[in-house]
Amino acid sequence: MKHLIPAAAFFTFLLSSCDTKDPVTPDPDIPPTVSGVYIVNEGGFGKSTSSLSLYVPDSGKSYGDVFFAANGRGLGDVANDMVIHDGKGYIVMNNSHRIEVISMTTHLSLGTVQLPGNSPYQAVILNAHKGYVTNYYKGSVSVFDPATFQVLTEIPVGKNPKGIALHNGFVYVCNSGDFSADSTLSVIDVAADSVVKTVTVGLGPNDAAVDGDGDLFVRCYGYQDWGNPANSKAGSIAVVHTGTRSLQAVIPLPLVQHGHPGRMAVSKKGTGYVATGAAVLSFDTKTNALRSTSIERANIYGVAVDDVQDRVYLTDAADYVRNGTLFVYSAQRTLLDSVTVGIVPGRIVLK
Amino acid sequence: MMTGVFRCMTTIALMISLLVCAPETPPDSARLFPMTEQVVTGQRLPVDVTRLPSPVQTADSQFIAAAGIRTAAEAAGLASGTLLRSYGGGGALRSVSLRGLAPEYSLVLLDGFRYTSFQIGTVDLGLVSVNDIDRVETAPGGGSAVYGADAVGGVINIITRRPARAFGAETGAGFGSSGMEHWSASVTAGGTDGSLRVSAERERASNRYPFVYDDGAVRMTLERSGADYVSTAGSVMAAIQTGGSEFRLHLRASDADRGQPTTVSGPVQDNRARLHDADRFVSLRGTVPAGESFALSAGLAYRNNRQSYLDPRIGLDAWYENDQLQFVHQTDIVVAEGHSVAAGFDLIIASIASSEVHASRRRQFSIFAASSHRPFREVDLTLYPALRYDSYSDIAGGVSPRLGINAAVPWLPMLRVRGTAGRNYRVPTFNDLYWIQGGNPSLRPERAFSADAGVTAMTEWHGLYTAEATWFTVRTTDKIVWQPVSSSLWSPKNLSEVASSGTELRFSAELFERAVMVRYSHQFTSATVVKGGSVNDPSEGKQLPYTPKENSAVTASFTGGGASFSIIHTFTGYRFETAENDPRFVLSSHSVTDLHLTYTYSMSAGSIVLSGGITNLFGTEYTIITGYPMPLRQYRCSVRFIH
Repeated sequence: MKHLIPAAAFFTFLLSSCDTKDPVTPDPDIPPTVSGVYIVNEGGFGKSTSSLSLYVPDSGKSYGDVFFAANGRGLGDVANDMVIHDGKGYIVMNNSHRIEVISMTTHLSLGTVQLPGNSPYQAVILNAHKGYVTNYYKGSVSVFDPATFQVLTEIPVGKNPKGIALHNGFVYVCNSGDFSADSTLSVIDVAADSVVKTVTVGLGPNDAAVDGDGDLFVRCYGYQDWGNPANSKAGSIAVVHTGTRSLQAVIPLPLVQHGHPGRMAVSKKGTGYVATGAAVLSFDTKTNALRSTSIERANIYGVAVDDVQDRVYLTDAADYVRNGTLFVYSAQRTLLDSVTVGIVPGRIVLK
Repeated sequence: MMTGVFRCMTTIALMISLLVCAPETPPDSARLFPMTEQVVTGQRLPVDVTRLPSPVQTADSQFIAAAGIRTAAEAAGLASGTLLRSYGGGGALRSVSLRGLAPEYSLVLLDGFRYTSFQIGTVDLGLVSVNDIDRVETAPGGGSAVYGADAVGGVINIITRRPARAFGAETGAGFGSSGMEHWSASVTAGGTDGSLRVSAERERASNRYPFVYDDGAVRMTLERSGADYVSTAGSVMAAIQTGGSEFRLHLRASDADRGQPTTVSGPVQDNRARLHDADRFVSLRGTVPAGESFALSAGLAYRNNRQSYLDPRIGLDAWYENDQLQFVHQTDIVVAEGHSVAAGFDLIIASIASSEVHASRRRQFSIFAASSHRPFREVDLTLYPALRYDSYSDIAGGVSPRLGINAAVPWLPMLRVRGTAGRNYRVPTFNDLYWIQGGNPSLRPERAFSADAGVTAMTEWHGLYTAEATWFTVRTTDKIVWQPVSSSLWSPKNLSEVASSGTELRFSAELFERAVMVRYSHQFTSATVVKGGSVNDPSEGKQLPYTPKENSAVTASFTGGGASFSIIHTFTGYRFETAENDPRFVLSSHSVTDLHLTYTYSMSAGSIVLSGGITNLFGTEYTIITGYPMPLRQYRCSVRFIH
């Protein structure tokens, strides 16, 4: 009989329920409608840790994840880009293979544009009925309806398209050739939704942005040969005339001095910024030349320019595992503020 | 928190009740429990298994068969202090971590030889079938003083079967969910002087198992795609006994071709990546006694592993070929009654050729001495000092000392206290050092101090009852962390400091000549970053990602009348996915139950064994690693003919 005691103790032990309660996320007090700076945090690839941070310049306040706060769920896997159009935000979820559409007032999800297997990268919106998104794995651009969230058609372009820009009825697509090699820009006529020209720019075109004069600046990464660094090729910024849709200038970025260029932003007031390993370089979009002034901050991941408040926003992705930081600079390169944002903060979008 | 305290209290109550309710026994515990001395993992010299300084848990062939265990990963993953990490069902990568540390902090041995790859520091234990395994010994706790590099969290020793000394043949076939087919055959022959076993097995599956995809916005049941696999393995084992000496030869070859699906991050999966593993292993070990108190043993092992990874989606075609030659020598000496010493040296030559890693070679030379001493005749106390020196051709080596102790409580002979303290280390992997895209040849080994202390209560009543509680701590400095050097280049550095501590509770009952076996383990783990890689690192003080603060496993098996029934129930607490422990990104806790039934029909020509099993009986939706869903309910059945 006395041997029942250890048995009873054992089963009491088993029956004591395990601690199954997950930690709870506190509800942040987010203002319902604000203008501000949205930071699209990619999160870890395959980990669904993307988030959408909000920084309000007027108050200096920041909010860690406005999407989660509004919807009670995470954004998904690798938020690469966000475009704001007609009160809606279109967040390109690269490894979730969709575009998450949110209200820019409440941040509530309004629906999704499904792009299965496409690995969407960046998007532009033409009007209420047509948007374009690059498909990194498929080597194409999908045309979608921003109102109904339906995919309308698909346009083949070059290898591993990433950056995309829209100007005067033409969409410019950067064919990065990340897994092979490409150095071209595909030009799509939005009237026909077909490629009307292919422009050779430089090795590894990644980003494209249009300045105040209508010139298109294309950040080309170059080529990196890990096995034999002597074979690596320098990056550059290619300048494309959008009237003739042809290459008109190249701003070289020598490897020894700058390494391979990171992200780029172009203001409408004549200044562009490109991140390099050691600093964020500035260049003159009128003369197409590097300036001697730069923002001395290394390993910057995301870059954006606010022409209204004359500010430059930079993000540091730290070790790409932990939360990153948003830095706010004046146009005179004075650090004004810094706040913690999400994991791998990449795209910075102004509202 | 309250349930944890409650469980601790009930475990203590359980241990006390074992003591209070133990039958009247003479004070000498030697008369209570078997005193067989054997070499167990963690010690490297023959010791009385009831007097170990740190816990060693054995999943032997009887337990493995009764529980329906199929791979070494499951066998090791049920032990206390362990956590099984699986990237999916079927042929997915599976590794086991010990004491809250990542799998590369555990050393895996095959018949005592190092099996852990110097390239990545881990072993895919899901590829090691139990078909040829006699037992898997899992020894949580630092073991560098005995086994050298990478034994920081502990050691997992896979011990293959000794061929039976008689003719026998066995063939079997199994079928299951997701198109699983399994075929196996073995032949054994032998006499008094030697024996031979030849075996082969093959398994394949479409592995399109169901799982629930739920991202908060979309919820649907999907089928895993691109996870099909086919694996083939064959082995030859020979043992020769002559004049008290024994020589064992083991040849093993295995191939596995597996789909490598990526994370599930949407309703549509595009999985075309494939991984091919080809593994060749040969070992020869001889043991020669030289008198009553002296024995020599030596062993030679060679392993060749070629792995290729192809992902057409991103144009990746990578391959890695590792060669590893080992020579081990050991001398066992019984110095005097109660005093034994094992000393020897290890020599390892390892090399890698790869499309992703610079061709490299490592030579390791090590000398070690481990001993056990009972210094007092009148006191039941054993000391286990051990010391090992390792030198490497390409990185810094060092000295790893350890001291262990085990003692009976004088007034309660069935209660024993034990503990160890020592220094351990993990070597940088070939990937860390020589990866073409950013490897850092200047890395130093990670250094660790580990200690544990525990109590064990044992008693007999129709079998053996054991209850254990162990406290442990491991503090690792110079932890290697990959950090970005530029926007496109990452490189590893010796940066951070991590501490893991916790409590392991274990209870087992083996009754009626093991017709009834119950094993229960429960652990509480706090594994945190003490010093991060940067100033004000937000991960400092936070639980390591994917490390639950709590997990447990219960296994119960019942055998009688030719039939056996077993149930395995595991619980894994919630795990943070991010270094900052962001509560938005959490893998929920889950409980999973497996059942297994076996019936053996005996006849003159042999016996037929019918078995069937259900994994994930209640269809729990869960993932162990983010984005890699585990299967819902799965079935399998098999038939074996044994002559």
